[in-house]
Amino acid sequence: MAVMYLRKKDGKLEEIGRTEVILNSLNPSWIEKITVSFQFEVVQTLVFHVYDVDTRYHNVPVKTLKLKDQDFLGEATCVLSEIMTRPNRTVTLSLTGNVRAGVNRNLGTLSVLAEETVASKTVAEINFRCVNLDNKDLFSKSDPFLRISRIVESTAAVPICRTEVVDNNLNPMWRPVCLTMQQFGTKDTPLVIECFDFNTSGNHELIGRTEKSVAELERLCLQKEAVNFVYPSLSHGRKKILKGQLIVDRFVEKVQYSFLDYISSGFELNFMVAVDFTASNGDPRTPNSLHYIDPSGRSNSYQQAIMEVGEVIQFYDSDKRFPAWGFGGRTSDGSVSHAFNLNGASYGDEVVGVEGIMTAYASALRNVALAGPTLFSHVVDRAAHTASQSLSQNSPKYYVLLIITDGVLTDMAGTVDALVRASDLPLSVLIVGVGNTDFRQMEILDADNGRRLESSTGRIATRDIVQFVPMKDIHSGQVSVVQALLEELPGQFLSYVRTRNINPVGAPAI
Amino acid sequence: MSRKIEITGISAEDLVYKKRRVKKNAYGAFDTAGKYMKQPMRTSVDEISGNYPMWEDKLETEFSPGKEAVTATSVMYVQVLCRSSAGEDHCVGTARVPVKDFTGEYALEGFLHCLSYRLWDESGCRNGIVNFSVRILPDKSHLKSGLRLFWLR
Repeated sequence: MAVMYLRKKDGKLEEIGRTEVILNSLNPSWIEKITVSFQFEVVQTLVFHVYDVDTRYHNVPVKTLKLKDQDFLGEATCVLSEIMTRPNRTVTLSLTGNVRAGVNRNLGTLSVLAEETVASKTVAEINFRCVNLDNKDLFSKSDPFLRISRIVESTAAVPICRTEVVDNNLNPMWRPVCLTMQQFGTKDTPLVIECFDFNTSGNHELIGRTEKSVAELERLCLQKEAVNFVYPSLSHGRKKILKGQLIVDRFVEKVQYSFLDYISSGFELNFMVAVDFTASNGDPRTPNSLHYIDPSGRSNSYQQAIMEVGEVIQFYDSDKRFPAWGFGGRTSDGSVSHAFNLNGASYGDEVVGVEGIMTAYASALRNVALAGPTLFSHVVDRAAHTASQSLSQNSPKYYVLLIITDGVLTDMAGTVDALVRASDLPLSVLIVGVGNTDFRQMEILDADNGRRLESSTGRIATRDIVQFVPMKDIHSGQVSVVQALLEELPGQFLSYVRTRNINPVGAPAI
Repeated sequence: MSRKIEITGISAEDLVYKKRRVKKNAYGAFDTAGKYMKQPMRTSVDEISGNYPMWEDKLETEFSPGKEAVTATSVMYVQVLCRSSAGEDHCVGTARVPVKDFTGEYALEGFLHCLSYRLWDESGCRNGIVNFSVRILPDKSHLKSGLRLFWLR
């Protein structure tokens, strides 16, 4: 029997599941599958323990077996993303065990196969229509739109999507709405569908609402029924049932290729780093500096950010060669550069592995003087250049540029121009802010409020490629702020490939 | 030296005409100064969506980059017009697209450039965004032994 654990941050093992017991075999092939949630933003270390189950326990439910009563046969460890990046999603590990030093025993191997459940790739495409809505506008008709939210914890509702606004129409028909399983949870999770009248002031008036789960919407479509909206009335506490009705014209369930489908077909994520070498960080030799390398081994904010992002992404990069740059520093030839190679070489900006980045960073701190000003445009251009060069190669790569900075941008316009130019390429820019400055400019670059970046020539960013997070508290508990950055990455990657109708390598269009 | 160029008008956003949101019947037109294209290209008219029209029309035309001195500053004009019930076409906004944005630094033959530009109306005010994609179709003679590059659709 095999038992699977997840190794948590503190080193403790958390049991995830067990296989069944296969009797009398030295080469067992288990059938029982163990389910685990794939999280892109953390390194998920899986630990497997294989046991020999004593005859006494052969007919006992596997869950109740006490592991210390069984014979331990061996242990194997691997990282979940390692399995998912292989083309056949299988990895074979050698078992190790408690053998005395010097004893060389072959304890056998364990093969692990992982596959993504189809349910998590399902997307529901729904065409909504309404009839007989109430008129909320004075001189014209309502401008209705729908907002769909998911009920979390029995009272709070989290909006998951909005339709477009249809002008001046009490019987509107909207374009199809696509809901992923990640958004609606399960087909039976209740969703709140509200119909609002759009007002340019932002104060949209509620026309009516209804609560239906995805399964109920499917039923409405099949049986060609309509559901009436209700209006929560403040007096009497009773709800008023309105004449307005919601109709589901079309309900189609599709399967979309997921992030893991692309990864295991050969797509790679290439990591690039840019480190802020401006004087505002403070002299690296003083303990107050953001660049201070503590001899006791505690990482500074820069090292922490590089480790956390690099450790996750390195599994998705086959050659583990990462370009690493610094900006705002005065190099050995006396001039200030905004995209100098961290490894100090005059050719070749790549280092090998996350350790390579750390070594190059430490040596650059000794050889490069901090200067200024803070400019991102050069490193963004370098990253964009690298990404565009890779387009002419035959292997599909998506680039991730991590910029770690402590300060305020001097040239906002130049940076925006560089980002807009790069927005059409397979590139995402993750910005981590260290220190205590006001990072308001970064929030503008992040464009999460929906205002797309506009360059000085009138070009608008094709998509939002920037994600920003301030690393204010590096001692925070379980969830790291950098994880919040990484969570967005699969979504950005998918929006790039899906807009261009690019399927996983060799996969047919669905 | 003329190439085939494929332009797909995708959509436009936030169109305002005479202080009101555009109701319907908007379409896009692509044209270049200097007559590099055979004829101005137009998308179909979107009759349903008001100020967020979606076209998804593929338009193909010939394109001659022409002499060196002129290409550096050559420009393509993208206009969004709306057809009123009387049949007249009003220009809602124009965007000025430097041709080198899709033939310049990041250009590979065949790469699909998805571009978005700010629209400016006649009085010089911002009036929405137009989204379109451009691709220069690779010349057959340039394809090396039929090797299909990955990112090119």
